Amino acid sequence: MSMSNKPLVWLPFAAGGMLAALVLPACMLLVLLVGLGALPPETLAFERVRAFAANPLGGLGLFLVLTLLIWHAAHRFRMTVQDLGVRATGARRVVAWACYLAAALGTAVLLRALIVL
Amino acid sequence: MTERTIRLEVFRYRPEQDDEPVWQSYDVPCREEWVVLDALNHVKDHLDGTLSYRWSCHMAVCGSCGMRVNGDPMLACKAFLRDLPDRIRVEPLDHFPVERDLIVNQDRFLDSLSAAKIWLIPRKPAPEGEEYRQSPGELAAFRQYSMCINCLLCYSACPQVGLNSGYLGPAALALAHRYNEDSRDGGRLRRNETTASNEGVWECTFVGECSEVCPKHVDPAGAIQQMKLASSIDWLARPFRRKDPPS
Amino acid sequence: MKGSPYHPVMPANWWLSRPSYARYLLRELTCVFVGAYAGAWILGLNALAGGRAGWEGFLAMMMSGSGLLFQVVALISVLYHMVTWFELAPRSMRLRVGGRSVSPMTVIVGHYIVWAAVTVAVLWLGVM
Repeated sequence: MSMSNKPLVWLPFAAGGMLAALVLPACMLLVLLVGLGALPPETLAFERVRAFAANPLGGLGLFLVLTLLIWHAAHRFRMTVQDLGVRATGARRVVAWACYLAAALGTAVLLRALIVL
Repeated sequence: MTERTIRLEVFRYRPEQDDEPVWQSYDVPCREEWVVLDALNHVKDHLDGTLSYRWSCHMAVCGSCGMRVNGDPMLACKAFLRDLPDRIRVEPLDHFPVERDLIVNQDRFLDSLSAAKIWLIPRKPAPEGEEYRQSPGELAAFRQYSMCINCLLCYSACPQVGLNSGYLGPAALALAHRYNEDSRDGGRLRRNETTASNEGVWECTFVGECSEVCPKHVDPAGAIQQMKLASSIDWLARPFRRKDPPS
Repeated sequence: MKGSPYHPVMPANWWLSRPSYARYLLRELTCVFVGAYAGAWILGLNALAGGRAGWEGFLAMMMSGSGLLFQVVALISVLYHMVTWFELAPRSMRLRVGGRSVSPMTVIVGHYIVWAAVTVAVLWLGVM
């Protein structure tokens, strides 16, 4: 046995989990209130959101939050699939790669979108 | 003294005669202050001398009588009949091979204790001719985790122990934490080789059931989470350490 | 086989055997909604980068009947994640201030205070 490299995925998981608890509910509430008509639709107008995402600080914030959230979800989902019955080492490796690949893909799409903006 | 008749449904396994485990029922006249262990002792003394189980202190300090009572991991000496229904199912701790009846093979746990180096690795030699002093604050840092009586209820409660045969398990990891947090100890990096491996803390997903069943309130789940953070910092610091100590 | 120890087998539906296990699984599955919501917004930002038409199409989808239902279910899921995450927080950190341990309740309340401040800030930023 030797020291595992799990911290590489666990630290983003922990950070993402904290963000999901602290920041995500507020953001979800904001969007939901717009959808329900409690807040004006201009809140999410194209120019407004574009300006926020194009702004270096806004873009950085979006990148950090969204990236950590999907990496949190990827790691947690991978562990849950193991809990639900995938026990063979080979199968577990496939699951792990699939989860982190999906997160990496999401990160790449996000980065490209923010660079364009 | 009011008596109550309890029906004990006990898991029996006698390797010399049974292919599979069987359930055997006993009707036991019980006193109201009894615990499950008293009922088992009555069975062994008066009804069926072949029933095999471990017990010793009868006061929840030795950790010998761990078993499942109606599915819940408990110390038989701490399972009061007044808190239980008239039908009580008694079976061995989960996730361990069963040697006989309620007796499980604990080798996996004992191997974990060695692997996690559950002993003091002194940071520096003890002072000559006087005690190795610790302040109350230094004691408080690890005292809770030293309360473990090795009863293995946490191993029975933890689904990861069942799902992953190589997992060191809650008690071994909590005890490693007990030494890592001891101001006299300098062995954390050496313990990391196993406690921070894939079979160590990283197998834990914080189900938390281990801490729920612990009769000594050790909170192994908390210990493991603290170790995850400490191991992560050690992992990040690897390139900056001159060399890791030999095992 | 006679003479050898009995090896218990963990059933595939082990998580149904205790309520606490089922609650654990529910807690872990909140990650599906966290991932789906964040993923949706990554696609949304991608649509934003593509221009007004793409963005308005994305909004229409998010604010449709099923989109709103997804948002509500996801929000409930994330709130369950939040409650369980904060509940476990004190166990992961043992803080000592001035020689005395910080009580678990203080740690939990501290998290909620930060959460409240962040929520106010985000909502204010959003409507400003």
